[in-house]
Amino acid sequence: MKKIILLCLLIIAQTVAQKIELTVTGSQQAKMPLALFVLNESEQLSDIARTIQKNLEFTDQFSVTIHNTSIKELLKDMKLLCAQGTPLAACINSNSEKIIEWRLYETAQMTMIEGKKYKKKGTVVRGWAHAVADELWTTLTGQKGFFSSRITYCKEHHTKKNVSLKKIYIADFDGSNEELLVDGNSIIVTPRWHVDTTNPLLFFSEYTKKNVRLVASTMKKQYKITSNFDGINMMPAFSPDGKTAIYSASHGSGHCQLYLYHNETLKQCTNNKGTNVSANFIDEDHICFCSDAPTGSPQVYILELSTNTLTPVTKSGYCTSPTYCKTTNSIFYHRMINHVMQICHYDCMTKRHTQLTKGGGNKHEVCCSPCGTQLLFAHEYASKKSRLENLNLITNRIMRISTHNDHCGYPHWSPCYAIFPTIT
Amino acid sequence: MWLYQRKIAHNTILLWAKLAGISFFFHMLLLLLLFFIYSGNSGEYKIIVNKLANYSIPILLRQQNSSTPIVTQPVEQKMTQNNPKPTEKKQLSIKKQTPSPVSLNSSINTSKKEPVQKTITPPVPIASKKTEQKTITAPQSLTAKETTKEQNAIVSDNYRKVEALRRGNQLQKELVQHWKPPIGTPATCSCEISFTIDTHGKVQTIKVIRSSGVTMYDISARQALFSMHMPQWTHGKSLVITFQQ
Repeated sequence: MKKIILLCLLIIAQTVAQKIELTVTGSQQAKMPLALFVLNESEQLSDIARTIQKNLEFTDQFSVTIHNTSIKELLKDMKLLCAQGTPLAACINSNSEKIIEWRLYETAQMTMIEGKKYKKKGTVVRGWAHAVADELWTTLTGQKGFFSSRITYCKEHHTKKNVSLKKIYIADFDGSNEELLVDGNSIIVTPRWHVDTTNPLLFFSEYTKKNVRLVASTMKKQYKITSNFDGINMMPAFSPDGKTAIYSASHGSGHCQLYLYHNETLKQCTNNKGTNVSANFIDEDHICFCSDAPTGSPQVYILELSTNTLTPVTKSGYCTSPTYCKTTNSIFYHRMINHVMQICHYDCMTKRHTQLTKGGGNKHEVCCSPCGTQLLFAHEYASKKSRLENLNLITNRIMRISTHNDHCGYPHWSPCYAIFPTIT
Repeated sequence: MWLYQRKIAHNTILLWAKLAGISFFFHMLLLLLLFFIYSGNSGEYKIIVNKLANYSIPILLRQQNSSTPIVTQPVEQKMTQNNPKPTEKKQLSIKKQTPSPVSLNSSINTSKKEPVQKTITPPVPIASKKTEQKTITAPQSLTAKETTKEQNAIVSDNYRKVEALRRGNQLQKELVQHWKPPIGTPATCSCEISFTIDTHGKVQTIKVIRSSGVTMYDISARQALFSMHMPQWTHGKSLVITFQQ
């Protein structure tokens, strides 16, 4: 009798446990709300919180609100946030002078997703904020951060005698905190960052009476001439390991060729009667560059250094200034479309070309952020005047980086630094 | 002797009482099973809907009439305005094998001693850009409005299937209103979440079966589950939902 009853109960239990499976697709994307809590409020922590807020909102993926609270009221505040529809909460705290602690919570289940202690590096407070924002960003999106990088560009100034000079500035990724790095009495162009993330170095080309020489500068404004051949020496690019460099030089011949510098030896990579510029390393053995030698009009090519094999990326039109992005394995370059230089994208895997920008005003010298989601370029807004603009590849939003009346050009994006570099 | 007879009678009555009790018990058990537990949803079923799914597509129950001709006509699926990118999916795939009820009209034919031929109309794929051939059983007295309305409808002659589709649609409509995938997540992102709903309609014991790899994507899906109002038919059940873009 008991066995019969047990059997019946078993049958009932099995029928009760029913599973229903559904697949749902969402159509409309939205910004992720995030509440940033500052525990044990201090001026420094508040600055850090504001910088983190600014950084995350720059990406257009988050809408961040800052709240000051204590540990006792944190739970209560998070429950309130959950009711208001804010799923994420991040807390920052600094119990010791050397460490900033951050924790990420999910308000719905009141569980901690991740928590880390960031050991302060360097002396720049916003550098710490950028580093914490990078860590938060990586946890939330799975992508590499770019907040700890810097940008460099040339800005035009006029002397009292109305002589036009260009000076080199560095700034944060969003154009804020501008600092003058190279202030000379000559024209200075095409600044380029070295790939070394521990020792920030900037290379630029300086016009002299005899030639255009290549100069390197540290953050302490210490300059060193690195290539002083006749003619033009400009646009260096560095291999991922930093041990090989490639740059354009004319050696007084009137034609710019590419030269590879490795193990203290200089090797000529191209030998034609054209102009070969804007070289970028794809990997240790491949470079992409712009040349007008084969077809007469500038095109983008990939050169395999070991076999000297040239592969065209573009075959027609007027294409210049390629830049390679390792994260997305793609090349960004400029193409003349309807008499306007626009930015285009080439996917190295699928071999597809896509036009990224439209509208009036030539775009020049595009460069990519370390994470591959942001593009920085110079946009001509008037005759011989350009400003820096940032294109967010995720949201397709273009934002002005330089101030309204400045004439800026030749931008370049640095890698992310562990110790945030500033001019000393 | 009389005592012995009394004892036998007592034992007989006791036996009959026991039998009556046991049968009453099983009868009550069966009734409990039928009215409170069994809801015809045993087993699993899966519905895949693409981005352009129009959740207002009517789901019609039509009884199979073997005397009516089967009409084949091309159907152009409508595109919803808010979704600019059409996708190539998808067909409704229902795993559950339920025996379809014999249609009423077939019983008329049995009097003529002919075998019952059942033809089940396949469900129409939702929101595909291509024109597709659709097999419809067209009743003779349909108005023009009804034909155009029914051309885009999902037609089935199985009431359980129809009920399941309607319930699935209801839940999907509710979910899509509350769930907004975060900006910047790759199009291939998808996560699978299982959870149970208590008798009051509250979501309990959420578990991520398969993560998308992007933390904020999983969080947005979980947040949507907590914020939505679960329909009555989900109370006391466990669900597995796949969120994809």
